Amino acid sequence: MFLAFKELGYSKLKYILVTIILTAILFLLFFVNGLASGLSNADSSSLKNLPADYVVMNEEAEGNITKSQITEAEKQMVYEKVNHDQATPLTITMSTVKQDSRSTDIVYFALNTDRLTMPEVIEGKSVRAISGKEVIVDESIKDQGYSLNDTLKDENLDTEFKIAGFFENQTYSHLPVVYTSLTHWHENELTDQEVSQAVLYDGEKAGFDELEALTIDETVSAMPGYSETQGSLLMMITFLFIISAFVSTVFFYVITIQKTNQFGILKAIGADTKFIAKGMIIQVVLITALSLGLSLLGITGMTKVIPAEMPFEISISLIAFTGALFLALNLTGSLLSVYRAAKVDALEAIGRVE
Amino acid sequence: MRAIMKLENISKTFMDGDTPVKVLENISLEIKRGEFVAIVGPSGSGKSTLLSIIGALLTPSSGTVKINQEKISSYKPRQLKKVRSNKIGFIFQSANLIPYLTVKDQLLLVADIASKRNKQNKDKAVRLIDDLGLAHREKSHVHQLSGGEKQRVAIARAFMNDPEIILADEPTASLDSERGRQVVEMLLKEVKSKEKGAIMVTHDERMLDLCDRIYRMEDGQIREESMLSVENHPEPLHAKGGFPEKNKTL
Ligand SMILES: Nc1ncnc2c1ncn2[C@@H]1O[C@H](COP(=O)(O)OP(=O)(O)OP(=O)(O)O)[C@@H](O)[C@H]1O
Ligand SMILES: [Mg+2]
Repeated sequence: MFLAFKELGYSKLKYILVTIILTAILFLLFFVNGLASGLSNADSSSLKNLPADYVVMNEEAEGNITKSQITEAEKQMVYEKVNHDQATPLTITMSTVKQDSRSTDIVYFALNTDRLTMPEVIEGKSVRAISGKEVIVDESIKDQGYSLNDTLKDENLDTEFKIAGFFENQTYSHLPVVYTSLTHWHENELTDQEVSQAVLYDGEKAGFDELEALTIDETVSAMPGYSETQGSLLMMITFLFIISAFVSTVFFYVITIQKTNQFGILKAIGADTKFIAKGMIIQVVLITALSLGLSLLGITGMTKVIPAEMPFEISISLIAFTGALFLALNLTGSLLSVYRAAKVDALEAIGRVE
Repeated sequence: MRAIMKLENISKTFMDGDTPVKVLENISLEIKRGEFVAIVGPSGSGKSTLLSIIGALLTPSSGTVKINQEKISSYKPRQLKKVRSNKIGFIFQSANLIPYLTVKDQLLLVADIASKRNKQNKDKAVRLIDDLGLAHREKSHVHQLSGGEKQRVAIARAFMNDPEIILADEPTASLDSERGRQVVEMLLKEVKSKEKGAIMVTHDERMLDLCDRIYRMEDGQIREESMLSVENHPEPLHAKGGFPEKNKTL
């Protein structure tokens, strides 16, 4: 213990350098991680938070919900197999709303809001309570200057909606999602009565002719571009892990090799491998923990600076998981050094010139 | 006085590939408390091997080693480690100090390894450093010390665990003869005042007048030399051809 600390103190520069390298790698690791989950969320949080167990689309859509079309007849077919009260058609419409000549792209999710367990709101009316022109909008629209009870003017549909509440994590392809009553849309002929994009239902998985019931996870990963983006980011994350483990393993291994003679002396004066290994592991843990702390400080500082539109999200669980994995990898790497130290013979200390 | 260390019929055989090489043959000797003994002999005659066996670094092929009545020659590695940590003080050819520790910490390390780091041992370290004339060097690092100072730190370290026996393998090899003699004199003083047993392997026969007894090793065999020959003919002994050039590490 005492030996490990004395060495850190004496060879400061060496250990500071490796701490800086590991901090930089970890910073990048957290950054890419935060970006991956931020992007994934901005892309698909509305799909992740769809209020149902299964999403039924037609087979040709291959899971891409905006391409899917379900006819009235098909809808009835689904309703025969699932609990009617626990199901709703979903119509997705992309559009633009205007306020003071400023346009905002949005995505309408029109559905029967009195079925299923609707998402929680963070402000205003609950989703179940809306009627007529009332809508619940993702809170990200606030950045565009909208607030509760404001009007969404839609020139494409030639209609108006009233913001009755806000919920969070409801974006599709980086755009705010608007939950609106499908009944209102049918009454005002805002959409084709005969087709919708999907049918959502709670319950068991069921099979349908020419239709496909996907889980929420399957729906998310079938989003165009989603798997590709997440896949490449995951690859970067994996490589960063490998690089970090490699850097620290090689660093400690090289230092261990430089110290074989010292280990010989230590063993000659009565130390065992446990004594030596304990010192090494203390050093690895200390340096890893220090790099983790520093990089977290850096990431926290950075989140204060980046613009709000940037899709970046980092959670405690992600940090804890990344940190634990990083520590585990580095400790595994240091076993190589411990193994090397264990092989050193006390005899090396005798009759050997430094 | 009772023997502090006793060797009985020690033999050691190394395997060189498939052929066994007998390095030590039937060696018996004993050291009493307060005795300072030298071992001389040509390179490759087995001096370091013998010292390693006494110092619990190697186990003999046959024969017994007793330190203070304790028969260590049949010990397992774990027990040998304990013997080294509690009963043996080593001084190596080059001081072999730990580069990133101060002089005082070199000594405290010994206490740390034995899990006996306490006030008492801290005081002891300070006293030992003082004894060896290094008081002004207590906080220096290894690279700031001269060769002689390093070797004195190594001596202090060897005494730190209050060993029964001190083993020194060519402790003066890296020093000039004047420094070397000073270091051996200090070692001698500590051995006498603390009543330890000490064995020193040396190539420098000018140190031999400081020793109580001398053993000469040749081809794995040992015999005691009379002190008379040392006092009368220090030079001739040196010139007698005890140094075949093979493997000389001087
Ligand atoms: N591990 C080993 N395996 C095989 N042979 C060994 C081993 N260790 C030592 N020897 C051999 O044992 C013999 C004695 O070696 P030792 O180191 O004891 O000699 P020494 O008297 O200390 O010599 P020097 O004065 O050069 O230090 C040498 O011939 C050496 O080659
Ligand atoms: Mg030798």
